[in-house]
Amino acid sequence: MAADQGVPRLGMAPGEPQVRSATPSIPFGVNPAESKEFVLDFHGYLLLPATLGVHDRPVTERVDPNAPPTITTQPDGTVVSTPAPPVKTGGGTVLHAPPLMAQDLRSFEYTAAVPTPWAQLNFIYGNKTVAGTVIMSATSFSDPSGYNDLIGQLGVSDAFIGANLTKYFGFPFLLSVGAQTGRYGAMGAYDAGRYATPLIARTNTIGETITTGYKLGEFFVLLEQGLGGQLGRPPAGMVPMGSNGFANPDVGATFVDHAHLGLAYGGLGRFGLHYLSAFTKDDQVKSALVPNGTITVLGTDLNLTAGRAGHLYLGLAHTKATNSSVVSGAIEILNARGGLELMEQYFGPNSNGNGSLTTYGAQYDLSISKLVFGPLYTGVSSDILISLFSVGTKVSSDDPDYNGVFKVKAGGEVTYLMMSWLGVSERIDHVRLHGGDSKKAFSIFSSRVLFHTGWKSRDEFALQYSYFQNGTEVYAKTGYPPTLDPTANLDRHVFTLSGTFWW
Amino acid sequence: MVSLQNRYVCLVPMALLLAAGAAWAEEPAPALPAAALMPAASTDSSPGASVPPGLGLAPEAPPVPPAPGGRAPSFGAPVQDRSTSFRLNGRIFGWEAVGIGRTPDPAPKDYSGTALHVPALGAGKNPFWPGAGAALNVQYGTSLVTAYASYYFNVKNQEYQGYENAFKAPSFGQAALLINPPAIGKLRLSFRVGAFSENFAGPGQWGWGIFGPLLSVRGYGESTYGDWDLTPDLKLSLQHGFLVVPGVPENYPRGDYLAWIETGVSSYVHHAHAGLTYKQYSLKLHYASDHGTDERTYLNTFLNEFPHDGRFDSYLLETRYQADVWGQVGLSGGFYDFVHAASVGDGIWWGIDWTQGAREMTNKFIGAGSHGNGKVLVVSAEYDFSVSRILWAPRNFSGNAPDLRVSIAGLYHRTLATDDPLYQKASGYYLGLDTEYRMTSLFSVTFSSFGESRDTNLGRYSVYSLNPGIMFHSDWWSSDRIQLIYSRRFYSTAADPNSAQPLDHHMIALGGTVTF
Repeated sequence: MAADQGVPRLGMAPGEPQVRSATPSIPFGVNPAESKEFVLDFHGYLLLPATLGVHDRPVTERVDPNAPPTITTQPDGTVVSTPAPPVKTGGGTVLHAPPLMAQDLRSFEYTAAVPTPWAQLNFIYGNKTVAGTVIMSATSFSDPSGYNDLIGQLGVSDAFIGANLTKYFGFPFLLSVGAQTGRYGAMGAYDAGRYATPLIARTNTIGETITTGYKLGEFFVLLEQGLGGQLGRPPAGMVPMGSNGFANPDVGATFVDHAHLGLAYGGLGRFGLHYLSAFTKDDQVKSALVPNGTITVLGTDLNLTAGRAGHLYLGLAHTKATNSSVVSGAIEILNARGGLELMEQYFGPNSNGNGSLTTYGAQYDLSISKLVFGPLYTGVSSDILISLFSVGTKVSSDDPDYNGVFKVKAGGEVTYLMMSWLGVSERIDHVRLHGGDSKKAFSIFSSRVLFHTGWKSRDEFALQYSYFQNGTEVYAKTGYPPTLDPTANLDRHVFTLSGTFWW
Repeated sequence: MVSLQNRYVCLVPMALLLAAGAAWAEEPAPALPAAALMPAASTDSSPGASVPPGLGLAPEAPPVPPAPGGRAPSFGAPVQDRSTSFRLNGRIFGWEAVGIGRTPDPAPKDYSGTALHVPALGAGKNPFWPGAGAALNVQYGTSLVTAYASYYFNVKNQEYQGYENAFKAPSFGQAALLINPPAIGKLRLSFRVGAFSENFAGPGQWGWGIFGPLLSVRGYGESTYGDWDLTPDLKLSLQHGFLVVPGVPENYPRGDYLAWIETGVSSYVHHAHAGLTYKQYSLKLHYASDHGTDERTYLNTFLNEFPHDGRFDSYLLETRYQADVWGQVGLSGGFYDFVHAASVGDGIWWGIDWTQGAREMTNKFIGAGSHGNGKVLVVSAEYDFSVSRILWAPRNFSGNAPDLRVSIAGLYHRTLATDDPLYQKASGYYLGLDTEYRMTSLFSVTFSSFGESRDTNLGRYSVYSLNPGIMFHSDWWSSDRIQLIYSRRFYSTAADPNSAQPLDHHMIALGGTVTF
């Protein structure tokens, strides 16, 4: 160990990693080079909401376990014990957490209008040529939570090594190896968009990604390629439970092969063509010897950052699934993880994972001050931000009950920043889970007061009230494991206090 | 006409912008448009990104939407930083504690030898916490806003735990944002938002003490703080907070890595505090009310009763005297009010001697037959002093010399009301002594002793311990230590009721801690 001060050891230092040596072997703790360019970098992101729902608690009837039975004596002298009758419990309007609302992240119904917790710490060590990144993330915090949420504690969610080999190749060439997410079809200029949903696909793999390009005048041709798989699969016989995320052992080892071609023009915009293929050829799946499930995505998108005219995103994707029930969560389509969740959310239980999704997405963000004042607007005065966004998908499935379903959601948000520390915002979302069937549609009306420490500060504190207008056949998941519960009485009023900051 | 209407519509946002134009020249910063309108990402725009975003979102970026309203720049959007600072604190620890077993009565046939137990079989307060791991506290921010996050690492693997102990898996413990706006005259306001816990009414020198705070709250929410300098010597402090503890489904399994949770119950906590500090004297009032919303439809409470919304309230008074040279004296007291508390989650996390939440407070102090209703009085006191500081007076003692540091604590509780006949007028006390004789800059001798005695349904529950030890450290003021402790323990029959599996009367613990 570098920290040892010349004391010889008779065994390995406890700090040596428990892995076999790389080839060629470089002992851990000894600098492989004397370069002083290696530095430790640290970044983080916090989104911390407290959410409370106003709940109309249903009345239930149940027997009081402590109520004594009624003892009666029959005319013939027989003593009869009659259990106490059920009594009504519950009822009333109460506050509870978490709110009961149709906002499952993995479902099309998710809008991100009501924030949910997310924290991550990024540790990066390296120099300009090579850097290792470890990201620790969580959707839950152990001290203030009601229970030890193992799934919410993601631990090391990403770990990868990136190498910038441009100086060796003579043209941009970047290689990344390790466990990292890939998100294609991000509808925001610098984020996953108002729905926090990559429109085309998300990959969750350990493997490689190569990004390269070629400059042609003002144009830049981008090429990206990736290949990876997951570390393992749920072993046969694994019992689905909370601690393993209700894993299904009937999925196979899955790999994702993807390639992307893009054309960027200065700072104006970027056009992309995307191809992703997730496949499994695993003979350990119980349901078939070699089921060969695939999920293939073809997509195209356009990102325009048109100065005072705002930012526009347009995207189109076609997802084709074949025997996808055995494809694992190495790929996510509209946040649905793997073939099983595609079946649950889109294709139906009788589809065998066969079907397709034709998906569009659009988002437009505009600053009125920028539009009106152009370069005179410096970002340190009042502004009105407008955002319009929509995603829709047409389902084609082997399950006749699900075939032809069109799901669409759209919304708008207007934010008025009146002072350097104060703003107000209104967001409206409408979600239709089954085309024109209003019973399976709902709307969310969210009003917010925003506090921040400066016009352009990265912090924000929001007090939010959301009103849910639910159709009669809009359900939320409850219970263990969470399943859609038609009997659940959804909350219509949801209050949120959130804080967010990144560095 | 339509055209005219459109023109008016356009005028509305224009008027709003111009009306707020007073702020136009507040910050003569270089031009940067709003987040959503930033120019296309430069190749290294994601903070710390080792590779550029390419055709997708950078892997470093969080999978979240933009901040509510879309005003705050998203992760990776170009911004101009104010002056920021980063701070890393933490604690690394490793302790092993072995219990030396007693011969069971009756002993199994052919029983022989002396059993060694890991974990040690014991009850009552220990001067050590077995386990190995670290706590990392990171802090990043500006003078206006600072982010805090705590991350806990514990040895959880089979190699050290003997089994894969998922309960010890690494976790984000807390995370919060603290806002410190500029003072308004003599009034200083600050706000905390996030997922965190807060402690109150501990009589110890730094707010904790041997028997801990009498109140700890936790959850997702906010706290608002106000400090007002009434005179140069007199300061008024006010605090208010609201926290939410999310519930879990009624059919969630309990036990094992989930610990014991009350399912089907969620809680919210409202708490308020006021304090006066005059020179070395301080007086604080604390109020907290933990409301439990019970949505169980088929399970009963842990008292095997019908679900019922409940409350668990705390009313506490905290006083403290920082008597320089002579040490500090803290005295806290008050009472806890339980109303159907079997339906209240752990929004109030700690009460007497780190007793967790309404459930354990009910079990220990008002009884299983209480229906969750009762009242408990508590008084807790502690005196902390340094003998060298007293002897050196009026010279100032710097700590770079031998010293005897002493903490003496006592706590008394009495059940004022309960529906459980076995706990009516039940009472108990805790006694604690914690000493360290720093003989040299490298070596100390320690001694601690704890006693606990209280009424239970099994009779008087009593545990006493004598815990001598030695400690090594790297300097007079260093925050590291390696310690060896022997613990001799004494139990009453109610505390050690099963002679066939008796508790350990002797324990040995060896461990070390570094804080930074």
